[in-house]
Amino acid sequence: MPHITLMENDKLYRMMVAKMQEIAFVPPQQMGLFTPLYKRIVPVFKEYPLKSLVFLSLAATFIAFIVFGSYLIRLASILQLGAFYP
Amino acid sequence: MRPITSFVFFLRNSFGIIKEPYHTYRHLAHGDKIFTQQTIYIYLLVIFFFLSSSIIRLGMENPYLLTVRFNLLLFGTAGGIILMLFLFYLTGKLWQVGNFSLLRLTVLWSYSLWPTLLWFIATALLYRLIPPPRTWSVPGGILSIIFITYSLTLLSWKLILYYLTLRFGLKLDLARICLTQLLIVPVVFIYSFILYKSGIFRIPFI
Repeated sequence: MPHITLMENDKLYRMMVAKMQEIAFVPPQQMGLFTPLYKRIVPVFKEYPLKSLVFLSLAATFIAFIVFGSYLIRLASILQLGAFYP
Repeated sequence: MRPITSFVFFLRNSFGIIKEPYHTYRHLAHGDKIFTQQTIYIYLLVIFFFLSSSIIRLGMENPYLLTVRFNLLLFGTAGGIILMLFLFYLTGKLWQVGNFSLLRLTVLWSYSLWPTLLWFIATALLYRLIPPPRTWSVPGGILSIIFITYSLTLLSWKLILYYLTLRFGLKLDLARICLTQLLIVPVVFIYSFILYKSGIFRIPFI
């Protein structure tokens, strides 16, 4: 019993418990057969996702540019005309 | 919470959603106390942006038109935010989510306005600095590629934050989040169409 009290008063211990509770805030994602694939892909987007997003977006834009050509430039013009009126 | 403390929270979480959105959203959603005051700064930035963009577009010659324009943008945005929160509430009811907290959802969804705001700022600046239309030339092509890449990146970031709002705000799994889109996407599409037809936004500020 004194050991438990000692632990509960320990700041590091309390911080670790709080962190564990935060991690367990939502149950792990289960996707049946696709769970291993999900667990491989998702960490990329959990830690600093912008790097991966910029790379993927650039690749997608280049592919779209090759496929659609001038339509992509027209799309950029429509978007740049301003997202809102007038 | 003091204004300076909430501002520090706001700055820390704003950088957090860039660097570690998953951990930041989980941290925001976890805990008994939800500090809604921190979100006021993002709304102040949105108001400031609408005010400045209205002035840039219309000038100061016609204050009446400026006020109407500014109010339309503001109501269009407020309507979108209220609609999304209402849809989250319906989703919570639909999946019978226990321990439902509208405040938690409000904080999470408010931070997801960052990609939207950044995209609108860039578009407004480009409108002034390099006015469209883009042409079928080397500089036109390069600028279009950069702009579309920027737009896609921010759209993906927005979708991640939207997913995290549903994941941590309502504790839904991926299957339920996907099914929920059958409810949310059509309503958002109709709302966007109304905004488009009424001449407020070409792309909704959601």
